[in-house]
Amino acid sequence: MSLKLHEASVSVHGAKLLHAVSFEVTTGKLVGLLGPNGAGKTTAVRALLGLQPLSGGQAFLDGQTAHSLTPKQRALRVSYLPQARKLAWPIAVREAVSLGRFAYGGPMGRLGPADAAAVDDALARCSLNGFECRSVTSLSGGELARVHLARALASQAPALIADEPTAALDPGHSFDVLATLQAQAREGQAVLVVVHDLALAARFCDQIILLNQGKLVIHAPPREALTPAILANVYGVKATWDQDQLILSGRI
Amino acid sequence: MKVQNHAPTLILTLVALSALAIAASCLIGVTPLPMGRLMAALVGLGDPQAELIVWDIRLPRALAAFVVGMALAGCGAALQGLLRNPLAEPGVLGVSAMASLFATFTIYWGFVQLSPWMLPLASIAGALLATGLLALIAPRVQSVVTLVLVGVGISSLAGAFMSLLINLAPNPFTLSDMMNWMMGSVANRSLEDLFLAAPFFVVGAMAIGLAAPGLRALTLGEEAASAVGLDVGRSRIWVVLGTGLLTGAAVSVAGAVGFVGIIAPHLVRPLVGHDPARTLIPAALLGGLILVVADLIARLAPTGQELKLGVVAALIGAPIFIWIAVRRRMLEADQ
Repeated sequence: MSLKLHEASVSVHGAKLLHAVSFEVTTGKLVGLLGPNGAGKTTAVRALLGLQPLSGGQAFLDGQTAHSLTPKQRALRVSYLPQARKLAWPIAVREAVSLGRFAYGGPMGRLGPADAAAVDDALARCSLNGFECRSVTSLSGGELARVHLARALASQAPALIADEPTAALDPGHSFDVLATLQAQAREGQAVLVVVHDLALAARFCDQIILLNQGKLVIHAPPREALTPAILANVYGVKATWDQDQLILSGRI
Repeated sequence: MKVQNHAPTLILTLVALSALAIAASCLIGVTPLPMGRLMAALVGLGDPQAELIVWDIRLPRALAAFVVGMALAGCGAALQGLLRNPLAEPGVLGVSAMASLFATFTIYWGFVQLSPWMLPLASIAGALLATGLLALIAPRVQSVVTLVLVGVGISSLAGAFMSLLINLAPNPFTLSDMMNWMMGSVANRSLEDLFLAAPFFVVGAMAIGLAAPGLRALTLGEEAASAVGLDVGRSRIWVVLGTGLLTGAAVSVAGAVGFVGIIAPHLVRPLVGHDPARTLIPAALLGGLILVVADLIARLAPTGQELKLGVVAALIGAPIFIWIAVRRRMLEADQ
């Protein structure tokens, strides 16, 4: 499995959001997609999925042009957790997680025993046992984030893209989410995660893709990508590495 | 908070209650006939007079109320699932108003005399126009409040044209015919009227049924629903088509009857775990039941002139609509 952008450019209403960006995410790797606000992270993710029309270049999911896939074909190749987290109705946690199996359902949406097993597995991976019958509107922010992640895991697609799964989470819950994603990568999924916390990305990701103003800055392991010089240039922050930890100490 | 699903029990209960209500509608009425004669007529063993009253007057009327209620409440549940808003409904969004406007056109210019199909086809065309317009606008405006406002606009526009037609009505007979469509009524309906609209009800219900699993996925929002494999555009087309056919057919039978599409899904939702797909069938059944009872009230209310079904439905429904809107606002403020 590979997720690949090749010289991808995106323009919306004359504004260039992505300039000829190329990168590839492969099986078994947890890759962090980083960059300041407005760097084009979400645009890159949507371009990769074929949800955002390209003004140049191409996007490939497992060798297929992303834009040529139907929603169902796409869902079977890559599981995508978008930023929007609002659920319209107070459905049960288990029902929400089961929606991750939607692409496997019959014409009337009926799910089989294999789907139920995948849902059970995803609930367990996200420590949601005992929450199955709870209403999604009665959950805390951290619990709800786990429900969304479990829904993404339930699909068991060969690739997973999560857009800011740690947004509005406390450090403990953020650690849990990244640890779960890392475990998924270790089991052979290709995982791309958009994160804002540099230290968290440095701690968990195998590789970092750093974007700035719609351009690719660097695609490398954390130690090479998040150097003090690059971070000063891109974010305007002072950073140092203390052995394996990245420490941010202020604004330049 | 535990989420529970009682859909099967609920459906059975509603079927039983609806059958009871329809039977009661056949037996109760202003013509004083002994219960025994009516019962005999209902099972096909009665005298001609009782059979005429039961089979040609009361039963078609009760069935019309039931089918119209089912159609409107089913559309309400489907639109609410598609738009992710409990206040969406053919009446509120102007779909019924547009359908009755088109129906009124055909009455005004006498097209109804050309073919019995004119009325249902015109109503369906009006309903499809309004639903299609809403579905085109919906993805662009994001906010459902804006969408409801657009619906109110469509409703007002149709209302204005309707007033214009009434203003210019050539004779009192046309005028009273048009008033019937505006107010909504199932009085004087025959079984033939129902058979004529039946194919549209069936095809419309099938279209909504095809959209059902997608409505469940849309709980996640459009982007995430598409991410789990839903063709959102296709779901939209099924709901628009289904709502157009069902609302159009309902209006061709009974004129514009409002609010049943909001009340029925709202009452049913907590009992089926708030799943938009599982809401459809029980909501439709409850909608049918509500209109059969509302029509019974309209018939039996001690008023000089018989009340119109649409008036009774609005008198009950509008306050509930306001209550749901205010409560929803408060719930959102809490979060």
